[in-house]
Amino acid sequence: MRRSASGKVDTDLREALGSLVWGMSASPHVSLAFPASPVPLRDDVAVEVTGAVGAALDNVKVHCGPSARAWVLVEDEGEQVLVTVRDEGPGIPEGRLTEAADEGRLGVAQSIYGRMRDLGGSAAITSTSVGTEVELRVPR
Amino acid sequence: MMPLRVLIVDDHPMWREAVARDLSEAGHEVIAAVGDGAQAVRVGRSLAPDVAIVDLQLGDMSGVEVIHGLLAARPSMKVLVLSASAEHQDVLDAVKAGALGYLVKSAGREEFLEAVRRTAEGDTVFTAGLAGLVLGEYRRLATADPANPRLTERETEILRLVAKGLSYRQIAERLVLSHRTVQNHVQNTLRKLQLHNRTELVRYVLEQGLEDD
Repeated sequence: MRRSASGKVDTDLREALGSLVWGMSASPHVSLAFPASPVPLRDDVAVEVTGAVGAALDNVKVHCGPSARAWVLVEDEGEQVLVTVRDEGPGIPEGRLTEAADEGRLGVAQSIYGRMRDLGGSAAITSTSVGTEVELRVPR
Repeated sequence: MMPLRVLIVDDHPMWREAVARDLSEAGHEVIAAVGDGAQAVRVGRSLAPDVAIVDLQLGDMSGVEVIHGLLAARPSMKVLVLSASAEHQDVLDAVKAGALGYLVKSAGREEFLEAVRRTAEGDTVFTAGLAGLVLGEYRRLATADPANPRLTERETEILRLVAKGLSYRQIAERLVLSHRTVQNHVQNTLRKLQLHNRTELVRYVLEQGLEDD
Protein backbone atom coordinates (compact mmCIF):
# COMPACT_ATOMS: atom_id res chain seq x y z
CA MET A 1 0.00 0.00 0.00
CA ARG A 2 1.16 3.53 -0.63
CA ARG A 3 -0.20 7.03 -0.94
CA SER A 4 -1.18 8.33 -4.34
CA ALA A 5 -0.90 11.95 -5.44
CA SER A 6 -4.44 12.59 -4.15
CA GLY A 7 -3.41 11.44 -0.68
CA LYS A 8 -5.66 8.37 -0.83
CA VAL A 9 -4.18 4.97 -0.09
CA ASP A 10 -3.40 2.84 -3.15
CA THR A 11 -3.72 -0.91 -3.36
CA ASP A 12 -1.87 -3.09 -5.86
CA LEU A 13 -4.76 -4.87 -7.56
CA ARG A 14 -2.50 -7.88 -8.19
CA GLU A 15 -2.06 -8.38 -4.46
CA ALA A 16 -5.76 -7.86 -3.73
CA LEU A 17 -6.79 -10.47 -6.32
CA GLY A 18 -4.00 -12.80 -5.20
CA SER A 19 -5.33 -12.84 -1.65
CA LEU A 20 -8.90 -13.15 -2.88
CA VAL A 21 -8.10 -16.34 -4.77
CA TRP A 22 -5.87 -17.64 -1.98
CA GLY A 23 -8.67 -17.13 0.53
CA MET A 24 -11.45 -18.80 -1.47
CA SER A 25 -12.27 -22.14 0.09
CA ALA A 26 -13.10 -24.92 -2.36
CA SER A 27 -12.41 -22.40 -5.09
CA PRO A 28 -12.26 -23.29 -8.72
CA HIS A 29 -8.70 -23.64 -9.96
CA VAL A 30 -7.93 -20.03 -10.81
CA SER A 31 -5.06 -18.92 -13.00
CA LEU A 32 -3.98 -15.29 -12.60
CA ALA A 33 -2.30 -13.29 -15.38
CA PHE A 34 -0.81 -9.94 -14.38
CA PRO A 35 1.73 -7.40 -15.59
CA ALA A 36 5.14 -7.63 -13.86
CA SER A 37 4.79 -4.23 -12.19
CA PRO A 38 2.17 -3.11 -9.63
CA VAL A 39 -1.34 -2.11 -10.76
CA PRO A 40 -2.17 0.62 -8.23
CA LEU A 41 -5.82 1.49 -7.70
CA ARG A 42 -7.36 3.72 -5.07
CA ASP A 43 -8.06 1.57 -2.04
CA ASP A 44 -11.86 1.83 -2.25
CA VAL A 45 -11.82 1.17 -6.00
CA ALA A 46 -9.68 -1.93 -5.52
CA VAL A 47 -12.17 -3.23 -2.96
CA GLU A 48 -15.06 -2.93 -5.43
CA VAL A 49 -13.13 -4.52 -8.29
CA THR A 50 -12.02 -7.38 -6.06
CA GLY A 51 -15.64 -7.78 -4.95
CA ALA A 52 -16.82 -7.98 -8.56
CA VAL A 53 -14.14 -10.57 -9.43
CA GLY A 54 -15.09 -12.52 -6.30
CA ALA A 55 -18.74 -12.52 -7.38
CA ALA A 56 -17.78 -13.78 -10.83
CA LEU A 57 -15.60 -16.55 -9.38
CA ASP A 58 -18.33 -17.57 -6.91
CA ASN A 59 -20.65 -17.86 -9.86
CA VAL A 60 -18.16 -20.16 -11.61
CA LYS A 61 -18.09 -22.35 -8.52
CA VAL A 62 -21.88 -22.50 -8.25
CA HIS A 63 -22.59 -23.19 -11.93
CA CYS A 64 -19.54 -25.11 -13.09
CA GLY A 65 -18.65 -27.03 -9.91
CA PRO A 66 -15.71 -26.74 -7.53
CA SER A 67 -13.36 -28.51 -9.94
CA ALA A 68 -13.96 -25.99 -12.73
CA ARG A 69 -11.12 -23.82 -13.96
CA ALA A 70 -11.17 -20.05 -14.27
CA TRP A 71 -8.76 -17.44 -15.58
CA VAL A 72 -8.33 -13.86 -14.45
CA LEU A 73 -6.41 -11.39 -16.63
CA VAL A 74 -5.46 -7.91 -15.41
CA GLU A 75 -4.35 -5.29 -17.96
CA ASP A 76 -3.19 -1.83 -16.99
CA GLU A 77 -3.93 0.57 -19.82
CA GLY A 78 -2.91 3.67 -17.90
CA GLU A 79 -6.14 5.62 -18.01
CA GLN A 80 -8.14 2.48 -17.23
CA VAL A 81 -7.69 -0.99 -15.82
CA LEU A 82 -9.21 -3.99 -17.53
CA VAL A 83 -10.02 -7.20 -15.68
CA THR A 84 -11.35 -10.30 -17.43
CA VAL A 85 -12.70 -13.41 -15.73
CA ARG A 86 -13.21 -16.41 -17.98
CA ASP A 87 -14.54 -19.91 -17.40
CA GLU A 88 -15.39 -22.87 -19.59
CA GLY A 89 -18.70 -23.75 -18.02
CA PRO A 90 -21.94 -24.48 -19.88
CA GLY A 91 -22.68 -20.76 -20.20
CA ILE A 92 -25.60 -18.71 -18.94
CA PRO A 93 -28.80 -19.32 -20.98
CA GLU A 94 -29.96 -16.33 -22.96
CA GLY A 95 -32.33 -14.08 -21.05
CA ARG A 96 -31.33 -15.66 -17.78
CA LEU A 97 -29.49 -12.54 -16.57
CA THR A 98 -32.38 -10.13 -17.18
CA GLU A 99 -34.82 -12.71 -15.83
CA ALA A 100 -33.06 -12.73 -12.48
CA ALA A 101 -33.15 -8.94 -12.40
CA ASP A 102 -36.86 -8.84 -13.35
CA GLU A 103 -37.66 -11.15 -10.48
CA GLY A 104 -36.12 -8.54 -8.22
CA ARG A 105 -33.30 -10.83 -7.19
CA LEU A 106 -29.90 -9.25 -6.91
CA GLY A 107 -28.12 -11.71 -9.13
CA VAL A 108 -24.43 -12.07 -9.69
CA ALA A 109 -24.65 -9.95 -12.79
CA GLN A 110 -26.43 -7.16 -10.93
CA SER A 111 -23.79 -7.19 -8.24
CA ILE A 112 -21.06 -6.91 -10.87
CA TYR A 113 -22.84 -4.27 -12.99
CA GLY A 114 -23.71 -2.26 -9.88
CA ARG A 115 -20.20 -2.18 -8.51
CA MET A 116 -18.75 -1.08 -11.85
CA ARG A 117 -21.44 1.56 -12.41
CA ASP A 118 -20.68 3.09 -9.01
CA LEU A 119 -17.03 3.40 -10.02
CA GLY A 120 -17.87 5.06 -13.34
CA GLY A 121 -16.70 1.93 -15.12
CA SER A 122 -18.51 -0.77 -17.03
CA ALA A 123 -19.00 -4.51 -17.13
CA ALA A 124 -19.71 -6.76 -20.08
CA ILE A 125 -20.80 -10.35 -19.64
CA THR A 126 -20.69 -12.61 -22.68
CA SER A 127 -21.79 -16.17 -22.43
CA THR A 128 -21.73 -18.91 -25.06
CA SER A 129 -21.93 -22.67 -25.00
CA VAL A 130 -18.16 -22.84 -24.44
CA GLY A 131 -18.01 -20.56 -21.44
CA THR A 132 -18.55 -17.17 -19.91
CA GLU A 133 -16.40 -14.07 -19.98
CA VAL A 134 -16.86 -11.13 -17.60
CA GLU A 135 -14.97 -8.02 -18.63
CA LEU A 136 -14.61 -5.15 -16.15
CA ARG A 137 -13.38 -1.68 -17.10
CA VAL A 138 -12.41 0.74 -14.35
CA PRO A 139 -11.29 4.29 -15.03
CA ARG A 140 -8.32 5.65 -13.05
CA MET B 1 10.92 -38.42 -32.02
CA MET B 2 14.68 -37.90 -31.75
CA PRO B 3 16.03 -38.35 -28.23
CA LEU B 4 17.11 -34.99 -26.85
CA ARG B 5 20.28 -34.13 -24.93
CA VAL B 6 19.10 -32.24 -21.88
CA LEU B 7 20.80 -30.19 -19.15
CA ILE B 8 18.95 -29.78 -15.84
CA VAL B 9 19.77 -26.79 -13.64
CA ASP B 10 18.08 -26.86 -10.24
CA ASP B 11 19.44 -26.57 -6.73
CA HIS B 12 17.07 -29.14 -5.22
CA PRO B 13 18.71 -32.60 -5.55
CA MET B 14 15.43 -34.50 -5.24
CA TRP B 15 13.80 -32.37 -7.88
CA ARG B 16 16.78 -32.83 -10.24
CA GLU B 17 16.47 -36.59 -9.83
CA ALA B 18 12.73 -36.59 -10.45
CA VAL B 19 13.04 -34.49 -13.60
CA ALA B 20 15.97 -36.58 -14.83
CA ARG B 21 14.00 -39.77 -14.30
CA ASP B 22 10.98 -38.47 -16.21
CA LEU B 23 13.20 -37.42 -19.11
CA SER B 24 15.15 -40.69 -19.18
CA GLU B 25 11.98 -42.75 -19.11
CA ALA B 26 10.74 -40.74 -22.07
CA GLY B 27 13.90 -41.74 -23.96
CA HIS B 28 15.91 -38.55 -23.59
CA GLU B 29 19.52 -38.29 -22.53
CA VAL B 30 20.20 -36.20 -19.44
CA ILE B 31 23.79 -35.13 -20.08
CA ALA B 32 24.12 -33.28 -16.78
CA ALA B 33 22.02 -32.28 -13.78
CA VAL B 34 23.61 -29.53 -11.73
CA GLY B 35 22.53 -27.31 -8.85
CA ASP B 36 25.06 -24.54 -9.15
CA GLY B 37 24.64 -21.70 -11.65
CA ALA B 38 28.32 -21.15 -12.49
CA GLN B 39 28.77 -24.88 -13.02
CA ALA B 40 25.65 -24.96 -15.19
CA VAL B 41 27.08 -22.30 -17.50
CA ARG B 42 30.44 -24.14 -17.76
CA VAL B 43 28.81 -27.52 -18.43
CA GLY B 44 26.30 -26.05 -20.85
CA ARG B 45 29.00 -24.32 -22.85
CA SER B 46 31.14 -27.43 -23.19
CA LEU B 47 28.45 -30.08 -23.66
CA ALA B 48 26.03 -28.03 -25.78
CA PRO B 49 22.71 -29.66 -24.84
CA ASP B 50 19.70 -29.36 -27.13
CA VAL B 51 17.58 -28.16 -24.25
CA ALA B 52 18.43 -26.62 -20.88
CA ILE B 53 15.78 -26.78 -18.15
CA VAL B 54 16.51 -23.96 -15.73
CA ASP B 55 15.07 -23.15 -12.32
CA LEU B 56 15.08 -19.43 -11.50
CA GLN B 57 16.00 -19.83 -7.83
CA LEU B 58 19.59 -20.99 -7.55
CA GLY B 59 22.00 -20.57 -4.69
CA ASP B 60 24.92 -18.78 -6.30
CA MET B 61 23.46 -16.80 -9.18
CA SER B 62 20.06 -16.05 -10.65
CA GLY B 63 18.49 -18.28 -13.27
CA VAL B 64 18.34 -15.26 -15.57
CA GLU B 65 22.14 -14.91 -15.37
CA VAL B 66 22.50 -18.62 -16.16
CA ILE B 67 20.28 -18.18 -19.24
CA HIS B 68 22.39 -15.21 -20.37
CA GLY B 69 25.57 -17.22 -19.82
CA LEU B 70 24.33 -20.27 -21.70
CA LEU B 71 22.92 -18.40 -24.70
CA ALA B 72 25.93 -16.08 -25.01
CA ALA B 73 28.09 -19.14 -25.70
CA ARG B 74 25.50 -21.32 -27.43
CA PRO B 75 22.87 -19.11 -29.08
CA SER B 76 21.04 -22.07 -30.62
CA MET B 77 20.46 -23.76 -27.26
CA LYS B 78 16.78 -23.95 -26.27
CA VAL B 79 15.92 -22.94 -22.73
CA LEU B 80 12.79 -23.87 -20.77
CA VAL B 81 12.24 -22.31 -17.36
CA LEU B 82 10.77 -24.68 -14.78
CA SER B 83 10.13 -22.90 -11.53
CA ALA B 84 8.04 -23.32 -8.39
CA SER B 85 6.94 -19.83 -7.48
CA ALA B 86 9.05 -17.36 -9.38
CA GLU B 87 8.57 -13.63 -9.03
CA HIS B 88 6.76 -12.06 -11.98
CA GLN B 89 9.74 -9.90 -12.89
CA ASP B 90 12.11 -12.89 -12.84
CA VAL B 91 9.91 -14.85 -15.24
CA LEU B 92 9.67 -11.87 -17.57
CA ASP B 93 13.44 -11.27 -17.41
CA ALA B 94 14.04 -14.96 -18.17
CA VAL B 95 12.02 -14.92 -21.38
CA LYS B 96 13.55 -11.57 -22.36
CA ALA B 97 16.95 -13.19 -21.84
CA GLY B 98 15.95 -15.82 -24.39
CA ALA B 99 14.07 -18.60 -22.61
CA LEU B 100 11.42 -20.05 -24.92
CA GLY B 101 8.94 -20.81 -22.27
CA TYR B 102 7.94 -21.13 -18.67
CA LEU B 103 6.31 -23.96 -16.84
CA VAL B 104 5.39 -24.20 -13.16
CA LYS B 105 6.65 -27.19 -11.22
CA SER B 106 3.10 -28.22 -10.43
CA ALA B 107 2.61 -29.12 -14.09
CA GLY B 108 1.95 -32.80 -14.72
CA ARG B 109 4.51 -35.21 -16.18
CA GLU B 110 2.89 -35.31 -19.63
CA GLU B 111 2.58 -31.54 -19.77
CA PHE B 112 6.24 -31.22 -18.81
CA LEU B 113 7.47 -33.71 -21.44
CA GLU B 114 5.34 -32.01 -24.08
CA ALA B 115 6.83 -28.65 -23.08
CA VAL B 116 10.38 -30.02 -23.39
CA ARG B 117 9.60 -31.46 -26.82
CA ARG B 118 8.10 -28.18 -28.01
CA THR B 119 10.98 -26.16 -26.59
CA ALA B 120 13.45 -28.36 -28.49
CA GLU B 121 11.59 -27.52 -31.69
CA GLY B 122 11.97 -23.83 -30.95
CA ASP B 123 8.29 -23.42 -30.11
CA THR B 124 7.21 -21.13 -27.31
CA VAL B 125 5.65 -22.58 -24.17
CA PHE B 126 3.30 -19.97 -22.83
CA THR B 127 1.20 -20.20 -19.72
CA ALA B 128 -1.65 -17.73 -19.29
CA GLY B 129 0.46 -16.05 -16.61
CA LEU B 130 3.42 -15.56 -18.93
CA ALA B 131 1.15 -14.11 -21.63
CA GLY B 132 -0.12 -11.58 -19.06
CA LEU B 133 3.46 -10.57 -18.25
CA VAL B 134 4.38 -10.17 -21.92
CA LEU B 135 1.25 -8.08 -22.58
CA GLY B 136 2.17 -5.86 -19.64
CA GLU B 137 5.74 -5.50 -20.86
CA TYR B 138 4.62 -4.31 -24.31
CA ARG B 139 2.32 -1.85 -22.61
CA ARG B 140 5.24 -0.58 -20.47
CA LEU B 141 7.52 -0.31 -23.53
CA ALA B 142 4.93 1.66 -25.50
CA THR B 143 4.52 4.13 -22.63
CA ALA B 144 8.28 4.50 -22.13
CA ASP B 145 9.22 5.23 -25.74
CA PRO B 146 7.06 5.24 -28.90
CA ALA B 147 10.05 3.86 -30.83
CA ASN B 148 9.96 0.63 -28.82
CA PRO B 149 8.64 -2.55 -30.46
CA ARG B 150 4.85 -2.95 -30.51
CA LEU B 151 2.42 -5.77 -30.94
CA THR B 152 0.28 -5.85 -34.05
CA GLU B 153 -3.47 -5.89 -33.47
CA ARG B 154 -3.58 -9.57 -34.31
CA GLU B 155 -0.73 -10.37 -31.92
CA THR B 156 -2.44 -8.44 -29.12
CA GLU B 157 -5.70 -10.25 -29.79
CA ILE B 158 -4.02 -13.65 -29.70
CA LEU B 159 -1.85 -12.92 -26.67
CA ARG B 160 -4.91 -11.74 -24.73
CA LEU B 161 -6.65 -15.02 -25.52
CA VAL B 162 -3.58 -16.97 -24.33
CA ALA B 163 -3.60 -14.87 -21.14
CA LYS B 164 -7.27 -15.78 -20.66
CA GLY B 165 -6.33 -19.44 -20.71
CA LEU B 166 -7.35 -20.49 -24.23
CA SER B 167 -5.22 -23.16 -25.88
CA TYR B 168 -3.71 -22.57 -29.33
CA ARG B 169 -6.34 -24.98 -30.70
CA GLN B 170 -9.19 -23.01 -29.10
CA ILE B 171 -7.74 -19.73 -30.38
CA ALA B 172 -7.38 -21.16 -33.88
CA GLU B 173 -11.02 -22.22 -33.82
CA ARG B 174 -12.28 -18.91 -32.48
CA LEU B 175 -10.33 -16.76 -34.95
CA VAL B 176 -10.60 -19.22 -37.83
CA LEU B 177 -6.85 -19.48 -38.23
CA SER B 178 -4.56 -22.48 -38.49
CA HIS B 179 -2.89 -23.78 -35.37
CA ARG B 180 0.47 -23.00 -36.98
CA THR B 181 -0.49 -19.36 -37.59
CA VAL B 182 -1.50 -18.90 -33.96
CA GLN B 183 1.79 -20.46 -32.90
CA ASN B 184 3.75 -18.14 -35.20
CA HIS B 185 2.03 -15.04 -33.84
CA VAL B 186 2.79 -16.03 -30.25
CA GLN B 187 6.42 -16.79 -31.17
CA ASN B 188 6.75 -13.40 -32.82
CA THR B 189 5.64 -11.58 -29.68
CA LEU B 190 8.50 -13.22 -27.79
CA ARG B 191 11.08 -12.82 -30.58
CA LYS B 192 10.49 -9.08 -30.82
CA LEU B 193 10.90 -8.75 -27.07
CA GLN B 194 14.12 -10.80 -27.04
CA LEU B 195 15.57 -8.90 -29.96
CA HIS B 196 14.77 -5.59 -28.29
CA ASN B 197 16.36 -6.84 -25.06
CA ARG B 198 19.58 -7.79 -26.88
CA THR B 199 19.72 -4.38 -28.57
CA GLU B 200 19.25 -2.69 -25.20
CA LEU B 201 22.02 -4.80 -23.67
CA VAL B 202 24.43 -3.92 -26.47
CA ARG B 203 23.55 -0.25 -26.15
CA TYR B 204 24.08 -0.43 -22.40
CA VAL B 205 27.48 -2.10 -22.80
CA LEU B 206 28.53 0.49 -25.41
CA GLU B 207 27.45 3.38 -23.20
CA GLN B 208 29.26 1.92 -20.20
CA GLY B 209 32.34 1.44 -22.38
CA LEU B 210 32.24 5.05 -23.57
CA GLU B 211 31.87 6.32 -20.04
CA ASP B 212 34.84 4.28 -18.94
CA ASP B 213 37.07 5.90 -21.58
